Amino acid sequence: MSVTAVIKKNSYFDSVSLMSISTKANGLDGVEQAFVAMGTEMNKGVLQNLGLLTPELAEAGNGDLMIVVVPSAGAEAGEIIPQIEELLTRKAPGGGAQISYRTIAAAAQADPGANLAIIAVNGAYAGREARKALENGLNVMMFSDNVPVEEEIALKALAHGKGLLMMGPDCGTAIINNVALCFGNAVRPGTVGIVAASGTGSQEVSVRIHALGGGVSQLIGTGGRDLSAEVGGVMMIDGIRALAADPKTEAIVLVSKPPAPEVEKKVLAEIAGAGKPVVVYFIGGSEEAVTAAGGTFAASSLDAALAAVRLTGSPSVQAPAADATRIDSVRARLTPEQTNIRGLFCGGTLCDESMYALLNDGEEVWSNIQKNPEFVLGAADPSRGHTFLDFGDDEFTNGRPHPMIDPSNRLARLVEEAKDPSVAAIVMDFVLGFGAHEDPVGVTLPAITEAKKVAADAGRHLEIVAYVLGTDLDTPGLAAQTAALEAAGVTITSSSTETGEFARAIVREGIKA
Amino acid sequence: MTEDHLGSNGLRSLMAASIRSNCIPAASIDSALVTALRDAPGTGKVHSVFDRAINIVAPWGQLVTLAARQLDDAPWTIRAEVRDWSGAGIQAGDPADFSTRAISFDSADSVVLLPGAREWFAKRIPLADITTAELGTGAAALGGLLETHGVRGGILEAPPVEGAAEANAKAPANAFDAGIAHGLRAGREALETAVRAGDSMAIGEAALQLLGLGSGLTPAGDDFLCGLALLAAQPGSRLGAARGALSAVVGQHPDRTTLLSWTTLREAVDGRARESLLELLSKLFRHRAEDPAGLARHLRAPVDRALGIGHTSGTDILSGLLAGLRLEKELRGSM
Repeated sequence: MSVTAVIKKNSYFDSVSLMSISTKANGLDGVEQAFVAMGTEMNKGVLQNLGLLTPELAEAGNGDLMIVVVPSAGAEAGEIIPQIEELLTRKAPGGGAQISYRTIAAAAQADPGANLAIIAVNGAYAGREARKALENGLNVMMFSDNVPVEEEIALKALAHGKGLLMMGPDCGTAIINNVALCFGNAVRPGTVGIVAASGTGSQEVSVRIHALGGGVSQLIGTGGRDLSAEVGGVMMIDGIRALAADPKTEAIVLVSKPPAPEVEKKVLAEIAGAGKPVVVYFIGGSEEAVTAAGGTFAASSLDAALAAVRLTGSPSVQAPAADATRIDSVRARLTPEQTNIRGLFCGGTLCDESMYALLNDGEEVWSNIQKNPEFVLGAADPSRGHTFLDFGDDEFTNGRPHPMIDPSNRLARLVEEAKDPSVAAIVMDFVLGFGAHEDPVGVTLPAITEAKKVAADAGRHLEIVAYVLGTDLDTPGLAAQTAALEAAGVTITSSSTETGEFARAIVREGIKA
Repeated sequence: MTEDHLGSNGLRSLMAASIRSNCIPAASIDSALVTALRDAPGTGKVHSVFDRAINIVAPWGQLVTLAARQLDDAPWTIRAEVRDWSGAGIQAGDPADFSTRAISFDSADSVVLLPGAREWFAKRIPLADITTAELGTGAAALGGLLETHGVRGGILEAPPVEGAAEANAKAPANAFDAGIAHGLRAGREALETAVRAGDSMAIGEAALQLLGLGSGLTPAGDDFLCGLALLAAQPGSRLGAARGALSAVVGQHPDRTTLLSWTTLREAVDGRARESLLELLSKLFRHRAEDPAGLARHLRAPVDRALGIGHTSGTDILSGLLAGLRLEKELRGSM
């Protein structure tokens, strides 16, 4: 019996790895038997009893690993040894060391250079943790929501006094030093700084800037409530001042859902002191007020991105022209009874922008994020007329992940809406990027197919309009997700703004005329 | 609000961020190690690196373990706030500086910070007041759990007894494994016979048959000895003679097994072991009035934790513990 041995000096494998190596070695072609063991006296004694103790094995020490192979008849030991060497050296890919800390203070103490804490604990405890972080000299990004407004006010005052950023509560998006935090997209580094009270709104502006050839220096989130009368825009004002002081930022874009009037006034008053061009995109905001304050008014997210890119070195950049013939094509396929648009959105600002496109035309729109209480729709309420739902709003996310992560709520609603004979089109958004679902389009395609079938079985065409928020640098990439939707017969829009325009065009030209 | 104390300071500090060393706080530290660090700081050497543990030979020659947070407290162990060491860049042979404040690896730019770590003391489980009936109940409960859930291939041989989980069954793969199994069986039987007889010399000889026998980093024979020694070292045990003999064998033969296994065994003969094993031992006698089935329900979780040690190591240690319980009961009955 020939014996081939490999001795690995001072080699230590945990028991599970050792079992795995042993099993694999025994399964190699040409191996009759293989043993893997530490070179202890007793183990060598067993080999001796079996007549397998070679002089080389006899020299193995307690800390040496013995690999002993008995080749089967006709097998070449020289071919087996390299395969065993490969088994020994193969190692599961590992990432960086994952360090966990039990407290904010311990983390701050362990890494004195750390300067940002992301807090995503239950809202009941988030304020306490944020305070600890601020008191330890850390800037804070608070992903948590359901934090009392009084606590937000106190935290922002504390942060302001310490010269720190208090991003949030309910702040889901930031890009700091080209690193996207929580939900964010892979965008080109550049010279546009963004301060935003709206997560998907800021994502949209950042990806439009990227698509137009520009880049982002910093994206500072404020939390959705920052521009309320109670909070007073503390973080947005600090954000403006921070970007004003940042040498890499050449122009600033402000993004928000409609702010409280007195806060809007206060924020706009900061523009003059910024010393840099400031583009203001407050949904439903006043052009006159912005212009009077010295800012550049943007009526849409696309306008905001265009203005910012033009102000930072590309003065003649243009938005891609929309294909107007597509509206005619949609119109031609609808029945006279199909008069309503249903918007099913993951992104609150994307929902808002499309909803405002219809509202600005005098349409009545029901929504869970409607400012007009007469048109507020609950999560459990059936749709009426034009209905635009933000599935990321608290009522839909209570006890479950955000729809950008778990779209199941929206999938069920999509099929439900298709059963309504009054529905002309369903408008949807798909958000790519860090933190989002790994394949938001793929997970939705079966529901899209089913929804179209439901309508087709009832003798109707159902138009599904989709906007994919993302860049060519995101994973999955924009092109692949868009192509998958197109293959399923979905009409693609190129921006949040165009999505609203498209919905408005269907209503205005196809139905009401 | 003034222009000169703005969030811009915060942003500037954020923008100045750069990659720094891994500063990892320790969660807990063996009390024996605290004393040793105070008495003998200096430079040690990394012995072996695993995903969840790094073993280092300390300046005073002791093997010290840096364990991931999810592992047990244990003798000569520091549990650190890290889940996985694989990406830390620490390699076998690297120097490691030991002080009362930190274990530092300059080569990997990593530091384990000791201030604030909870000090861990190995609990003692007094056995003097435990009755033979309680020992019998404990042994029956633990034996049943081992038969059902133990991992075969070490002390627990194949074929499995009837009713054992199929997934845990494992026949010897080859002549070497069969030889190991034979040696383990013979050594265990010889040891149990010697302990019953109170024959210290025979105990030592049997222990030598087991020491270093088994393929793993902590050979199965060592693990069995470890379980038995741990029980024997508890205050009030009637296995004191066995403990003395085992202690002598271990002390005299550091060259018969791996350094890690020898270190573990040496601690066991002093009654010190991983917290999960001590917790199991403690729970064995906490529910005194129950029958084996009832006790087994209470023991299931700690037994599962212990069985999770290594591949067969947990099973082999518990097998040694079980042998100790049975011997303890027998010896009390004969007195």
